Amino acid sequence: MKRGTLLVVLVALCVSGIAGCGGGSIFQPGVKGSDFTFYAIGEDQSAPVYCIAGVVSIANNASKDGTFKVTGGVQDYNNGDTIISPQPSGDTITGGNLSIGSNGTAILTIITNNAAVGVDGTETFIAVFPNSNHALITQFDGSATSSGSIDLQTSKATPSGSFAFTSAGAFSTDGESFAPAAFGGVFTVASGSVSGSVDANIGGTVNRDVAITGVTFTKPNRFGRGTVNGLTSTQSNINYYVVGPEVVRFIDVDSATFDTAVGSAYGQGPNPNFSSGTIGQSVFSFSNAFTGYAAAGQIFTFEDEGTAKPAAKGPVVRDGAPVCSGTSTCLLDAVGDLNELFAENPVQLVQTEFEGSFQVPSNGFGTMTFEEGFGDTANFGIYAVDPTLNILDPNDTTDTLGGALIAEMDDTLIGTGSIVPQSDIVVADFSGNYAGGGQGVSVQFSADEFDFLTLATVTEPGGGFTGLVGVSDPFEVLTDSVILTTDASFTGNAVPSQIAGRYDLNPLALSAPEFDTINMAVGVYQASGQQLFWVETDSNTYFGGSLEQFPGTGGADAKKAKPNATKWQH
Amino acid sequence: MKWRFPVLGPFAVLALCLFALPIYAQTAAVTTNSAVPHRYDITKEVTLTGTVSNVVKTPTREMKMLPGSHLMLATGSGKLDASLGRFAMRNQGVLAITAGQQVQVTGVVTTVKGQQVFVTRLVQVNGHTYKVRNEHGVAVAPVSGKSNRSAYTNGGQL
Repeated sequence: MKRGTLLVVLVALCVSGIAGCGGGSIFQPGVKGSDFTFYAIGEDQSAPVYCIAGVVSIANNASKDGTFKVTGGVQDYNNGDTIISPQPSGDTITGGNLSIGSNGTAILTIITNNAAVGVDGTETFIAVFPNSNHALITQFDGSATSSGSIDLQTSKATPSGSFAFTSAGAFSTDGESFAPAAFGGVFTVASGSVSGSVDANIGGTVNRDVAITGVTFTKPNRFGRGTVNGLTSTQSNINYYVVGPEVVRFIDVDSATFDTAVGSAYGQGPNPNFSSGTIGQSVFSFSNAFTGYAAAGQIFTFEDEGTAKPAAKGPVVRDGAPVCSGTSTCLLDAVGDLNELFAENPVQLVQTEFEGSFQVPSNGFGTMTFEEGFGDTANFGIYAVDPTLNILDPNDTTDTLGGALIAEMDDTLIGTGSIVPQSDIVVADFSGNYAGGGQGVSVQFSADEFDFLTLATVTEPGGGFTGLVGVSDPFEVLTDSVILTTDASFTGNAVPSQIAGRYDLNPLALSAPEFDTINMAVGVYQASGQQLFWVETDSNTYFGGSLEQFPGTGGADAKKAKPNATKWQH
Repeated sequence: MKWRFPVLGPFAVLALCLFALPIYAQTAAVTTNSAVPHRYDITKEVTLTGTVSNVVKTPTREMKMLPGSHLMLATGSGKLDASLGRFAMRNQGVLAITAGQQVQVTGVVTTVKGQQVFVTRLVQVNGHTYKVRNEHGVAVAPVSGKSNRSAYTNGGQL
């Protein structure tokens, strides 16, 4: 890349029609640099789960080599076992760089003062920026693999107001073994004091609606990093990183306990007044790589009048069913794809119908139940978010807004996810350029995690799906050797299925010079043309993840979209 | 079509018309799969002793076994497929098990896809007990023992 500024890069993205021009780029002339908040969860070489969160400062002016210097920052890393960043300081980010291409692909290198993380203290992530303020990231240095995001930091103030949150990780209740853990809830922060309710699922032991009291947030430092004090266990310690006024990342940094978790809190708006009607026609997704499962699907909600009995056969949607409203129980009809690869009775389900019910009170702290028929899934907590927030891309205020976070509260399934409104299932709108990611597990060679990112192009008509792919497989999961490559590619066709809003990508062929083509059976659910969720349902491998459209490249603008560049930025 | 949205239905119909090519005949049909959830019932646990005839660390697809590692045991009542789950081989003591060794396993007998499987929670060998699943049947991974987190205090809470 020629020397210049990130503004120049982004203008190039904009002009080429590859990246969106809206959204208020922070890379403005005269600005020395910008801070980005990042987080990820995955598996490292020492533990089944590691979590990372932090803030990285990136210079606006390119260096001689064309990259943008990392000028500082702070992070916390915790694998619940052998590695934890020193507290209260965390790891100091001392350097590194961002190499970003005109197609949105990037490699971010972060140098820390903690030799235990990454490779001798240096972490490398691959990234895909669908817009200038947000990217999906995957750790890519062989020391660990993970999925997460990096987002422009737009506030460093103490969080204030009402929030919904979820987090996931690994907890030990006996000091000898880790089990997957998931949490979800709502809380309100007033002058740094926190109160609320939390659902917890630690290894299948579920505690619902536990009060959060006596908790405080310290004032964040210059990087927007603060501490959560006063949790029930005296050894508990959580740090937070502000993304913006309504979005915060949290990371468990207990140095004495064998715990790790990372999650996000999203504002609920200035005057939360939710109802069951908050959850309308929606797309859901949930997963957990430690538990080893993923699901995606769509739901149609309606009022429970006591007469709308599920039909044994036939259409899943009742004609004329009244729209759900109020805070009492409502019903849902759903169709979904599910891969419970490591269940006691492994289950792979493709566009499977099932039913359920849910209820959301005014504070947004609700419940959802799936009736039998969708594997082992049954009980969830629902935590409604501000209807103006995009959960995946918190700086995007234009599409796929609102919905809720969810956490599974079953004794054999522990995971987190989201429900987002399904506002557009027009096939032609699933087109253009997409940043996509997936986190999964395979049992072909070892039962560990792999992650990938893709810069994909979907063409309509026809649903042609092609993409550059970066694969992080340090545990020899997909093949019998370590794979860290950005030279992989996807080819396939997104075929509309019988269920409107759903597509089959079967096969989705993953190819690379390093290995033979891997064909995957993938289901895709369209919340809108801008945001979709996908899940692989093979019997020996699964992944779950999302696809986020590059603004201005889909639907009526699809002709402006350029095919992917042939190379990942190095 | 079984899934219908009152507002967007016409788009769905349009989509199906536009793309009614032969390839779409390959798309999966809507299913109403009623896979029965399996719950680990700790009240049905039994403890068995057997001799290891084979250690399967990563079963192939052809073996049609549950994912994760297995001990094939010869017991007084016949052969037993003891499923150890995903993380058992991270226990050095389990990893070291070889054919011919005598082990004790605690778990629940279940049937998966017509095959009898012993879903193992505890493995006892050489005087040590290794937990590979918890009381809910969730596969657990061992703490490494290399950690300096010695001040265990009953787990943190978020």
